[in-house]
Amino acid sequence: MPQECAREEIGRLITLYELDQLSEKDRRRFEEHLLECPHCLQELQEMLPLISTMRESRVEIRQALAGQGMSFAEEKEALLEKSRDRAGESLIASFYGIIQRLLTDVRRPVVWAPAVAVALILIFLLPWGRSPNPYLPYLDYSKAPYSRVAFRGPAGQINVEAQKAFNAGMAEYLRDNYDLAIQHLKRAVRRAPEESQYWFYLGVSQYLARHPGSGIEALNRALSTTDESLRAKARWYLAQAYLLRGDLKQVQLHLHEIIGVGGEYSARADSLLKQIETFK
Amino acid sequence: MPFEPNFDWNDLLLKVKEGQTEARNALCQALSVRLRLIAQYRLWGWSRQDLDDLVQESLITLMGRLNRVDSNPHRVACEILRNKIGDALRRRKMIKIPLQTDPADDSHSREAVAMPAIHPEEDDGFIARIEARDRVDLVRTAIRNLAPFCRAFFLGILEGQSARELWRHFRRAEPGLQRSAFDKRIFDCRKRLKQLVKDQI
Repeated sequence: MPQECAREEIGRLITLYELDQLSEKDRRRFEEHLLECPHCLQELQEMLPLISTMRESRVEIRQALAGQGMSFAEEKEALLEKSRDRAGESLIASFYGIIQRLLTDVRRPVVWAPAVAVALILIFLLPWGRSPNPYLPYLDYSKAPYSRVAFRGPAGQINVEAQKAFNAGMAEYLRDNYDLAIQHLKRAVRRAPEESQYWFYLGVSQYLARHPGSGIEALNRALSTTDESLRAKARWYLAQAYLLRGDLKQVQLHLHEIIGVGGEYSARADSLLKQIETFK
Repeated sequence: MPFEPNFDWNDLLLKVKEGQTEARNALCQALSVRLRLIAQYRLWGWSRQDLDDLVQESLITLMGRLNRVDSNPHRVACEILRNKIGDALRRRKMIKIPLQTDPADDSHSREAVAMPAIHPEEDDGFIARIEARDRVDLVRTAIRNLAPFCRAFFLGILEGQSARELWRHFRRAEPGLQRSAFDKRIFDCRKRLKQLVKDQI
């Protein structure tokens, strides 16, 4: 490969040139540069087969990717969601920043009194002010079983986009990639909010990714189903999510419900209930 | 050599003017590589023959005017090529479907419609089609394995959105994203895409 591009700011236009996205003025600028830059010339030559494929088989590639649940709209939505999460995190970060500044300026008499007050409030309000959850060893982190063949809706009523997102989510779920699974499953429930199974697996993924709050919300939505077996499963994971959060009252409530109805999770619920009561 | 670093166009021009055949060949060779690539990107989908003809015509025109060129023969050649491309495009656009044609006889209109359309890739047979199929799979897999930003960018392009539109979309997720930063990022995306398909395409 010839030496690096000497005029990087023009050299960078190569991607847009290849994708035919430059204005006529910039296109001319880049072409003038191309005549004098062996590096960019070789770059352009090397990428020619790939760019040809992208430009000539655009529809085919797009359709294949759409078949795997990937489209610009989906990706854009995921990026927006991430940015919202980041915004939330940065809000927390800036809050801690303020606290840190207050603590650094503690020698200034005007500041230290309110700083102490804020610290005291924090001790009472923030989770680490509480004692650690003693029930963590009883949590069940096993995955809810899933078989693609077993899950089929009535033909003609299936929301194809939602189904695609669900399948993509379950593929990640089976690979234990819960964060990715959550992204896909969120898209699935947005498209088909009436599907309790989507909510169920979203809730389980959120619980397994240690997000009990959002997991509880999703699992409660899954409880709206008339399918008793799914309701029992949803209650079991709801009990787990509440246990993770340390809300014993709700744990007991759901475990009693499971035992009352009977079925697959009844014996496990009974055993867990006994363990908790013995511990208390 | 076409990719030789620090290629001195003016020195070459001087030698050609002195009548050195070797220099003349070197100039033509270096220019034809570059002009061919520019023509290909400007006239995407045109047949190889058409592109070669345009480059050839541009070089002949340049050689005819070389005595009047004082410096930078490559820039002059590029300008000639652009003019030739403009003429070729105008020629193709000038062929219009006649208004008074017999609807039953569509041979004329079909020809007229077919002319400005891009030429489908030359059919090199069964193997070429398999190779093309493999390349599609390779590009699809590479795009799938890119980071979310890059994946979204290439998906947007494949869906026919312009870079400007995509930048606007991305600004919704990152309000402070400047156009120059966006361009830099997509340049990096291209690098990553290239790395993913390296040695395979």
